[in-house]
Amino acid sequence: MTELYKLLDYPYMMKHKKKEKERLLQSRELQEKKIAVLCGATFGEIKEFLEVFLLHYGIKPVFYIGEYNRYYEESVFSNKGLDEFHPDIVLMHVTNRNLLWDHDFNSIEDDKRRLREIWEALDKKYHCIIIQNNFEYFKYRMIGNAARTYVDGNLKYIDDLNRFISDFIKKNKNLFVNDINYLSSYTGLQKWSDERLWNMYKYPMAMDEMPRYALNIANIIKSLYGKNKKTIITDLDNTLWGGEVGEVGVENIKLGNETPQGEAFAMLHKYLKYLSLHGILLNICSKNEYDIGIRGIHCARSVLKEKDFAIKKINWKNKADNIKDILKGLSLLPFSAVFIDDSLVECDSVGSMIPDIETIQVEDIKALLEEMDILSFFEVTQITQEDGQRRRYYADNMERNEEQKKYKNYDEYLKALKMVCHIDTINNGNIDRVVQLMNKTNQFNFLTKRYTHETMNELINRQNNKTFVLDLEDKFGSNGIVSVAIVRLESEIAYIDDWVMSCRVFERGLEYVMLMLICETCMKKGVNTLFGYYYRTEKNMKIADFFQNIGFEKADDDINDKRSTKWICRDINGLLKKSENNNIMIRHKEK
Amino acid sequence: MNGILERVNNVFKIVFNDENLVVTEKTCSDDIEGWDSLQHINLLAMLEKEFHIEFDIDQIISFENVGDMIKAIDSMNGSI
Repeated sequence: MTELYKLLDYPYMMKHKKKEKERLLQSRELQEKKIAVLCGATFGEIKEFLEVFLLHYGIKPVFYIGEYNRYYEESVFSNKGLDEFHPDIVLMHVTNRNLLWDHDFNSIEDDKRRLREIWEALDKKYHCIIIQNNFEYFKYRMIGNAARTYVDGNLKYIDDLNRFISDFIKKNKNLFVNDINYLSSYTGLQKWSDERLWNMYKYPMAMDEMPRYALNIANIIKSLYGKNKKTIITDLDNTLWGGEVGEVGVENIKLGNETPQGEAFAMLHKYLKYLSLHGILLNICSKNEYDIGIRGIHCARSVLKEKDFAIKKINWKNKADNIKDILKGLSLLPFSAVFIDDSLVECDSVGSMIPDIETIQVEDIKALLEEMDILSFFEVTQITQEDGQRRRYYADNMERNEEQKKYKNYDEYLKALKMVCHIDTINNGNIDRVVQLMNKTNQFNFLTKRYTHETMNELINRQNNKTFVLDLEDKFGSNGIVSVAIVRLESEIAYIDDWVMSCRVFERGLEYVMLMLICETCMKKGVNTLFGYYYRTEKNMKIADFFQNIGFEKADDDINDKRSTKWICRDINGLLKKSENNNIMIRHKEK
Repeated sequence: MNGILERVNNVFKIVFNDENLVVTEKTCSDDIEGWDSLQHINLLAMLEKEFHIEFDIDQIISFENVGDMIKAIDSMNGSI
């Protein structure tokens, strides 16, 4: 059981929150975010819990807590306090008790209008992310089952309003639902709310439910800021099926609907299959003979097929080494991976050799699914067309790795890849993927700035910003959009305000194509000085010396943060020469 | 009743994050720093968990000191 999961238990949370907070505040670099909580109910202790969870994700929250039951007024009317705070995120901490239904059974249109006014006002004033609670069902329904269908039935009211919220969210990229309707159903309405707490303190839920509520919010936030997991590495025997395939034979492993235990494993298969279809890469790491281990996957009862896995390490090597190989093959950091195994020993040893990886020991499948689901490693906040194709990109990458072995040297291999780079600017057609790439990329990311759809739109509409979007294709297929840079031109000076590249295309020389494009633009516009910035994080050490290596010098910076450095290049022509590249053909997108 | 006091004391230590905290039946909210309405709720919730009981609103409103809480817990056979 992971620490995060333990903290969902209210008494455990109470006992450990202070120490956890102190530990997390010291242990790593934290990204600060300003969160305004506008309240239809007391937020109180939930703030403490949310803080612990966000710190776990490397996010340090600064809070603005609104007045009880003033959420409408504080958003819609002028509000100096909130203006000065200027939130990154607004959380609408509301409950069904705030609905007008309390006073008028036919007021749903007014409730919808109020919500829309709130969202529009917040969006206009702050361009911020809005996390909106949807609504839990009422505990009492007065007219029995008809409450779901009758014109003024109270459950129908909630259904209609929640549908309205969901529909609105589909069209608005900065609005996200905090699904308390699901949370309360999961627990059961009777346990979810504690009427004493509402009557005395205006708490919207029982104390026991608060950690989970807080985690649900933290999960949306961590996903938005690129802290999701990206891959699962799983064991085989007693993890993907019951029994040891080498011992009992493939016909006797427990998998599929013929045995009760097998049903549970099939459920896990379906769970993982769904994730893989949504861009989460699955891999195998199992101690076995390859031919024996893979039999379980080949068997007809296995929902997961061989092609569903990106990398399969089925051998007798130690698991930590295998996992390091897998991560290298995927160009992912341990932080992005979840390792699942039934053996406590393996989990312990992997966890100690690779500290940043998340390991879950499978005691039983139900507990595993429950934990994975609640922790929401793969919380989706943006879906782009590319997500479904990600597995293919990595599969192609595996083929590329094989191909590489055939060539005498790396350069020859790169030539044989027949790479073509398509160049575009950021525009309506690609902005979703651009925002996603910039928010998810950690390693080749100079500044680790995170964007919303709104802030990106603002940037690209500024006249003096030039944007570059690169898409790389080679003989194995397209890699999709993999690199973005934003350059600000101010007469003779240019600034590389942001630059990211996906780990999918490391070691291909694509960074030099970007550099060349930047240089060419500079020369065309008569720029003679180019600045670059680097902000060190735990994850982008790979490019710490990048600017220096290509001939930039360290510039004086007025920034007092040790992690931040500024670089200057006065010889654009020289830089252009260094960025020469014979391996990638360049094509500009037709306007 | 002594057994209850000891367990109540442990709950106080957790809620107020103070290993050395000692409460008596006479201890009231003025005696402990940070015993505000927010912590009061935590305190009651944690006591309910510790003794597997549920206070009703009348009881909660009438609590003036630790002794009152112990009496309420005792009356509900919550010491088991």
